[in-house]
Amino acid sequence: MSTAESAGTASSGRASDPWTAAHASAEFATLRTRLRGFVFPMTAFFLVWYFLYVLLAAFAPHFMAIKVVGNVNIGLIFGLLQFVSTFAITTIYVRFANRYLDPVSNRIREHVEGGSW
Amino acid sequence: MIAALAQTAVGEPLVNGGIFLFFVLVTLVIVFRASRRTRTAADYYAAGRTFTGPQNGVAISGDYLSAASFLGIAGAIAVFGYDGFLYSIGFLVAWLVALLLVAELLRNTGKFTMGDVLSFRMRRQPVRAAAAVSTLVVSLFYLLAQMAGAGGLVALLLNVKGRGAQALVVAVVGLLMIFYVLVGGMRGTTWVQIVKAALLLVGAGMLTAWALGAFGLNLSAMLGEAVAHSSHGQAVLAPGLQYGKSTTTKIDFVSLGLALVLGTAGLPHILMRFYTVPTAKEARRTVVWAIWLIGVFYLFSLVIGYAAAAMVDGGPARIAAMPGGENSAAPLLAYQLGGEFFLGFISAVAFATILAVVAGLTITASASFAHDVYANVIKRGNLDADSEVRVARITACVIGVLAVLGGIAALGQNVAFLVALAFAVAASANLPTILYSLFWKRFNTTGVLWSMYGGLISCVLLIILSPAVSGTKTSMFPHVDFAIFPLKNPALVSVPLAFLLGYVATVLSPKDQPDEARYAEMEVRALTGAGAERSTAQAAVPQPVPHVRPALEPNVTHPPEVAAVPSPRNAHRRPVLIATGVLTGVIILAVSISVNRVLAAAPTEAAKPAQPQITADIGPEVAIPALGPTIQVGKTPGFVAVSPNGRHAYIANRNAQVVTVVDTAVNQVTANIPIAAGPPQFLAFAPDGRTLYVTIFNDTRTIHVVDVLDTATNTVIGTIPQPARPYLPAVSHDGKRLFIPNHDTASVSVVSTDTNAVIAQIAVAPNPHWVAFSRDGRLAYTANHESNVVTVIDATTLEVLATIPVGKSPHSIAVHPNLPLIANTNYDTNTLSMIDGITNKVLATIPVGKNPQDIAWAPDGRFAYVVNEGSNTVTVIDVRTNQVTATIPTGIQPTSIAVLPNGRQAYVSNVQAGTLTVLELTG
Repeated sequence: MSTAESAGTASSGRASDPWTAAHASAEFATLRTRLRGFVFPMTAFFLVWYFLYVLLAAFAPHFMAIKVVGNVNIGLIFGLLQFVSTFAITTIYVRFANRYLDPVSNRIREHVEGGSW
Repeated sequence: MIAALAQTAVGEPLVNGGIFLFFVLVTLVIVFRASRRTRTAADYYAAGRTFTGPQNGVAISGDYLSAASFLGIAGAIAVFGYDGFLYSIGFLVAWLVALLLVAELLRNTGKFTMGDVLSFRMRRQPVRAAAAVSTLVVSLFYLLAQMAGAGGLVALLLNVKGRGAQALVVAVVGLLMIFYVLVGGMRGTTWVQIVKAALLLVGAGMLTAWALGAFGLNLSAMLGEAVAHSSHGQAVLAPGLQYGKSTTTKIDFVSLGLALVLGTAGLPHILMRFYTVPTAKEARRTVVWAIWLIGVFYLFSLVIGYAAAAMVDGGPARIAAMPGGENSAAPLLAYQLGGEFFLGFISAVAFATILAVVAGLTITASASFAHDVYANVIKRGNLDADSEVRVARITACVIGVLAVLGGIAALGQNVAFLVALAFAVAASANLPTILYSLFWKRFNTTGVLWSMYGGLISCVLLIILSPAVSGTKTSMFPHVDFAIFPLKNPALVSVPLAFLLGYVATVLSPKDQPDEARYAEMEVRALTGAGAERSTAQAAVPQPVPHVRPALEPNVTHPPEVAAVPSPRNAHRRPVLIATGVLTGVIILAVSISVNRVLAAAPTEAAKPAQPQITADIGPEVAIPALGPTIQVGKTPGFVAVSPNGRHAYIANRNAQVVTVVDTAVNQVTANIPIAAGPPQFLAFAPDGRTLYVTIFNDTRTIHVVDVLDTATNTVIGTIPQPARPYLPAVSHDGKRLFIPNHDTASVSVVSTDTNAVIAQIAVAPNPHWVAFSRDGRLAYTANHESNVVTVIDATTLEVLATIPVGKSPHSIAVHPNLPLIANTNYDTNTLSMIDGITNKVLATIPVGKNPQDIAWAPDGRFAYVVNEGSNTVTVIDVRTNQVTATIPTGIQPTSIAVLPNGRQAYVSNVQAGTLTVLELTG
């Protein structure tokens, strides 16, 4: 208990507190840029893709009713593609986070909790 | 069983209740065991943060997949078709918001509730109060819908019809839920949810496999059958049946889509589950597992919904007419496929679903009140953890009682909109604030309050003024009309409004400066997990009293990774593997079911009079039947009929003046029954197979009678005189009336089978050749050879209802075994007409061989077989595509065809060749 507090006190010479110091670090800036650079465009993508589907279903039912194979029509394929894209985005994000986010965030966390800031 | 189906309830209430009781006992034991480890606040609210990501992922699926998901979506697909599917996509895609934007950051920043995160860098008390109000509103709406739904489910599954008895069941559900939460806390609740999610996935997987197997894994075939059974026809495969009525309903649908996709990540009971895992990384795994399991489950729902439409006796019309409405689709399908026991299992799963969801909601609402309102607003943080948990437990009791009372009050009312409303409130009041708090530095307390209260109030106000509450027949208050807002779902207005209010209020309140240091701390915590709440299992020091101001916990060293957490590389593959495994299991099960059906399609034993054949027992016939043996049956076999039990074929041997009997097991002639009255022409069995009616006339038209033949003794026991040459008759499904077409008097004789007396004559267009009854026995159809029409007769009032123009010289007619579809052959245009039994319009005219004389359906209705007298062939037509799939050679001058009830063989009479041709229909 005392270690964390004394670390905070010791580092207060450099910055007001360890959080602000960590927040101002280049490493944290990298982490934030990476996270936002991934999740914001990806969110925009899947929302656009989802609402494209919703709007087509609401306003272009005849297009969705066009049969492709047997009784399977565009609407059903489009709907199943929403499942595929959801599974795919999930997998891509987990790979991205494991590779590019976790190592950086782990380092920062260890610094903060270890009192290096 | 058929009798039970005819009643309003499904299945045996004792079986359903027994299986349900078993589930309750098992979960009670689990909850008791969990209670021994529930000591601290972190235990009670967050199960000590000891669950792994996969465990929590299963539990969160159990929390999320409510009865509305399980029964509602499958039912909506069964009745409304594609529009039900749209729901499930919104429910699934929503998890990407949770995965990418919310779950991990929230887990790192908070402790027990949504209020922890929102108040982190704001003025705590007003923000916590707002978060608690929103949490309570969302949870109570959701809870009320679940409790009212429990009443409806009980009506369906346990055949509990009285209002008092239903209220009692709601009260029992409430008591169980209170017990789970009080005794088991979050740990017990989580285990209940895990057990329920597993049961739900297994049950839905079995239904899916079974149904797919029944269609030989052909989804397209299943869709075709669903189309054929629905009164909406092809429209069930496309969007628009439910939402496509007007521009308003279309916009309403987009609004619903917005609420679904943004609401999930703002549902307090889902958010709270992220605190039950030790790290943000486990929160990520939680969502990954949830996405795979929920996704797979919704794929199952799609199949279950369309399968229910395709396979349940009576189709979507009967499903919609059941006491539980469209919710009955999945239970009815379970009953159709697996009988009492499977129905009991699926019903128990539905109950378990309600219990698990209400328990999750109750603990969330009680935590929010005790932690946010009582401890941090009323007591201003001066409350020890034990007292806080005590308050939470008391609150859980109060909420439980409120939910029971509300649920009883809402019994029989249309409160389905409450679930959609809960999503809309979560999307408008919670999500904008969560996102602004996590990602927008400048966001301040004023912004939080405007956004939350603005979103909440606008949402509730708009729904009160919407058609969901008043003004239409399906409203909560149908007899008053104050619906000035046209949309049933307010999200399209309230969500942008909440985002806007949060932004504008922040920008316009420059005095309310955000605490930059706290923002820095929050962002570092959120992104890195530094100082996050630890698992009680690994913390060296016991968790301190909940902090008013969360701060870096006094954990000296970073605790070691939990042993249970596997390496990251495997971590994200596991759910994929499991989901793939589940799907593979379902497909293997489906394959083995479809293979079994082919192998086990033995002849049915007893006669099943007037009962619709259960599709799963029959066939499946193939598109190109094989040519079987040829049987010598005498000189002039003009017509063949198969007994209802499938054991014998009876052949009218015209010039030989005998009815020849063939044993279908060995394909040999076993008897020749002399017909003294004259040349036998056509044959019709009574539904019980005991009586065979033989029509008799000669070429000079001097003889025209119908003989009554007892098939037990193979002797003629009566004779019914007729005014003119009797063609192919038919016996009504109840066995009481015989309809005989009189070829030369343009009439149909109605004969009482008790007295063998003609009780009525129905005038029809000249000249009736063939009579067939509709599936429900209410209508009779005649093919009228000289006037090129098919006549529709009300079989009860004996009135002619309609005449349908078809091709030239309609000769024979056959009604599809389970669809409102009638086929007739046109002798002189060499075509077959497919007639819609509901609209009485010709749907298709299909070219067949020369002079088609007779037609028969496969027992499961997949194919029609047409006998072409002029080209010595049988034409096979696929009902799904209306395409000819095969043309099979027969003997010389084939005149009739009869199919065994098990769909394996068909017999074709070749009048000039003196033979029967056997067709192997299953290949």
